[in-house]
Amino acid sequence: MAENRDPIANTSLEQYLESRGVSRRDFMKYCTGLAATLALPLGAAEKVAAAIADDKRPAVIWLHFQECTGDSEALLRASRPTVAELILDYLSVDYHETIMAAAGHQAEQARAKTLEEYKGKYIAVVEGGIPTKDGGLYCCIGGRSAVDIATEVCGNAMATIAVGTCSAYGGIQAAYPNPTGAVSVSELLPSIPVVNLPGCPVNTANLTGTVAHLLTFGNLPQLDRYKRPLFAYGKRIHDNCERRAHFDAGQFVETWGDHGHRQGWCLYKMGCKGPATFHNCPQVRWNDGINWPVGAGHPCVGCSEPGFWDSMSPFYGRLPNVPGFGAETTATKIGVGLTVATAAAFAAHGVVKTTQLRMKKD
Amino acid sequence: MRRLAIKVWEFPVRLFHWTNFLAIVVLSLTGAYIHWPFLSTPNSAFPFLMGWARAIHFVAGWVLMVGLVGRLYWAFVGNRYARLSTFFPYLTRKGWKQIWGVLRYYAFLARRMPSHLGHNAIASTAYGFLFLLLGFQVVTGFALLGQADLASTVYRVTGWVFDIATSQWVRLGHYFAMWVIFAFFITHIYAMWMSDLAERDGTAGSMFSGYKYGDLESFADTDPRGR
Repeated sequence: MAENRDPIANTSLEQYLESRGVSRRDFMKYCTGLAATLALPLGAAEKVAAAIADDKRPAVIWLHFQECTGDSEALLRASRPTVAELILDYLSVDYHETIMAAAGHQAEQARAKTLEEYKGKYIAVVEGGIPTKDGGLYCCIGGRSAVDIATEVCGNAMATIAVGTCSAYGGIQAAYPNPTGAVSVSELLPSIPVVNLPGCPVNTANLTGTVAHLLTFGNLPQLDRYKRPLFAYGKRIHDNCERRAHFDAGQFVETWGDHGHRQGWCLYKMGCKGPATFHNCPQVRWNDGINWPVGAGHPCVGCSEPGFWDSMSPFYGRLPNVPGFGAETTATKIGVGLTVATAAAFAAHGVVKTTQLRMKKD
Repeated sequence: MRRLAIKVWEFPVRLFHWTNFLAIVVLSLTGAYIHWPFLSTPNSAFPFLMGWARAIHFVAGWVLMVGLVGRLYWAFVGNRYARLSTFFPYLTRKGWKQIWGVLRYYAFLARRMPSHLGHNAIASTAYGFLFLLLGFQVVTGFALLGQADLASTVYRVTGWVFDIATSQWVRLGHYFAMWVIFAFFITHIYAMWMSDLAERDGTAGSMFSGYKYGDLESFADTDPRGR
């Protein structure tokens, strides 16, 4: 979309930022923060800044499938534009259905043009799960199925960034019983380079971090076994939580609004999934770093883990319920039942046996 | 009838039995606390309660692992009652006959237990499954521990677990296995008490002394040195 990029096409990043009221100092501060998010050594901020300001803006095609546009919303937070947004804006998003001016055939043409011009050089960003059942007819855009579009666009990209839990793991539509056969990008296209940035929504800091890594070093950041960058998903929330000391001390919130809750104690007994969730929320936080769920007194729901909806629910329970036993059947109920049944069976056996032995003696 | 005492459980078998027992007791108590912290320390009288529960749980986990590995080693070098094959009687036709005999005896359909000196066929089947279950606990336990540091050796060795199931399912399995072990424990104590009472073979004391007692008939195929 050449028209889209026009206002910034012939300006440098610095000029562009300055026109939006972001000083060089603000930009360097931002790059320092970004370098810290990426766990890079001191002094790397300048390299990151140089890489971002360099004029080799990668074309970006942003695809929407089965999703709520929450990840785009997270990026476009209306309150006030942040440096991150401006930079992503500058990094030429050529096709983004939500924010692009063009519509209909014009928009589809723009995508086709970018795909052709930058084949193997653009970055594909995918938001949303991809339904595969019944020929993929549950999500069609411009008469083409999501499977078809994703295969074409991601297959020809330099790299694909799956933003949000839906494109990273299938998300809510992939939850049991997954009626549309929704899959993640890497399940649909296992052989292409994919970075998963799960979360509901994705944290923009991690998206810009991944792009900055790509620009600075020319390769994708180091990933974990679920293809998540280690800089953002290398540590558990629980291990970096500001409430962790209360966990170790045995100080727990027992009910909403009790003394412990008001004191900011550990939310473990309220079903917090921090111990099972890898994400940098405690450090990076949300909404310009103002706060995050646990900071606001709500337990983590584990939104950035695979199988989020199936294995992280019930949100206010410690463990998932046992599959195949109906709702509300916890492992504890079944375990107690098993133990009591065993004890009862042997008590009955014992009565018969001792009677038998006594009769033998007589 | 003349009754003989025979060495059945060698020292390492007894040693690992009791270290495993102690480890399981400690692991169950601390594990139950970690699952549901029923004690809390609102006034910081003991300000590191969960920290200690977890630390003890991890140490006991190491003890259990060493006990299992040690017992597995002894399953290859120990006497006939300790051998690996005794835990899988259902793999042979003869074993199935024994299982059937024990079942009939337990259901009051037979007057006598098929002759045996080590474990009876059903007991050894149960112990075989118990060892597998404890192995499952050790692997899932260390996998969950390893999550604290993705660069650790523990995670490198056990991280494959999370390719099979996500961590909450692993946790559910690790927790539920505790209840299965509880059910086993009840079964184990009852069976030990009953066979000691009904067969008068010294089962109850055998895991302390190593000796069991029987008449000549039950030793028919036994080398009195226990080999």
